[in-house]
Amino acid sequence: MLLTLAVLFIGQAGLGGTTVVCILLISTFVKTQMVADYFMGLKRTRLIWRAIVTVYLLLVMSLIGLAYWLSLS
Amino acid sequence: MNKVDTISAPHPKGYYPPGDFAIWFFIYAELLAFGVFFVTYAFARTYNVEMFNASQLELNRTAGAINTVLLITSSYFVIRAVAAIREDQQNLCVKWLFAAIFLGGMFLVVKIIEFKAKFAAGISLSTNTFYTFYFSMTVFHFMHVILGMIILGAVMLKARRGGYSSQEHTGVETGASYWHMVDLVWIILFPLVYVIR
Repeated sequence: MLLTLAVLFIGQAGLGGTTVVCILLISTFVKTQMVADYFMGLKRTRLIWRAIVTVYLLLVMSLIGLAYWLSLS
Repeated sequence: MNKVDTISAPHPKGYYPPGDFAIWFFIYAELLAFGVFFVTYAFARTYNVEMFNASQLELNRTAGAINTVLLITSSYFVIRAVAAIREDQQNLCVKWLFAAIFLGGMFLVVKIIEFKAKFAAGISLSTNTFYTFYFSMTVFHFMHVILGMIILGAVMLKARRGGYSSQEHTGVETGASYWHMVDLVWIILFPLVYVIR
């Protein structure tokens, strides 16, 4: 919830740039991984089930980060 | 987090995820589809950053944040429903599921208000590339929220008739897993489309 409020604050302030994009992507990764681990219950399953989501999230966040880095540079 | 960790993960390490095994293939396929959407949006943006940034400023970020809180809270209610049925508390399970569905309905109401405001301003799917992505992704997700509510509704009705117990509640876990996926996708969609610039 706090991370969501922080994201809203950044959005309302109209902040941008490499650092802000990195912070937003990392906070999104942390939140989604927590949903997968604790809400979906993947933390206590066989590693492969959790790894699929973690790799997926890392891949999506990295590609989004790459696209934003290309547009900023 | 310890309590949530305990109630959402009943199996010892080395087992399959909660719910029907088949739903997980569906969940991973859905995540892949949304992932393609997200990455395509990000790269499409590189071709016209100014237009994407200007259009993004027209979105209602407060509504997006409210919807994030609604879905996360709703997901927590679903966890409570699963915890209740594991303790054979059918009535409590039904109440938590009803609360989760209600918040899902609130999400839809906020989204409809947002869509109406956009249409009233003359903005549609064909206004520009940003809005093509905005409407495509949010409507696609909107449909998933509706499907999730239908699944949770069916689970709630069965739970109300005493169809689940502490011994057999795979259906509740299956519905819960799908609902959490809908939540997870929105947690990515909100910052990507509404905030990151």
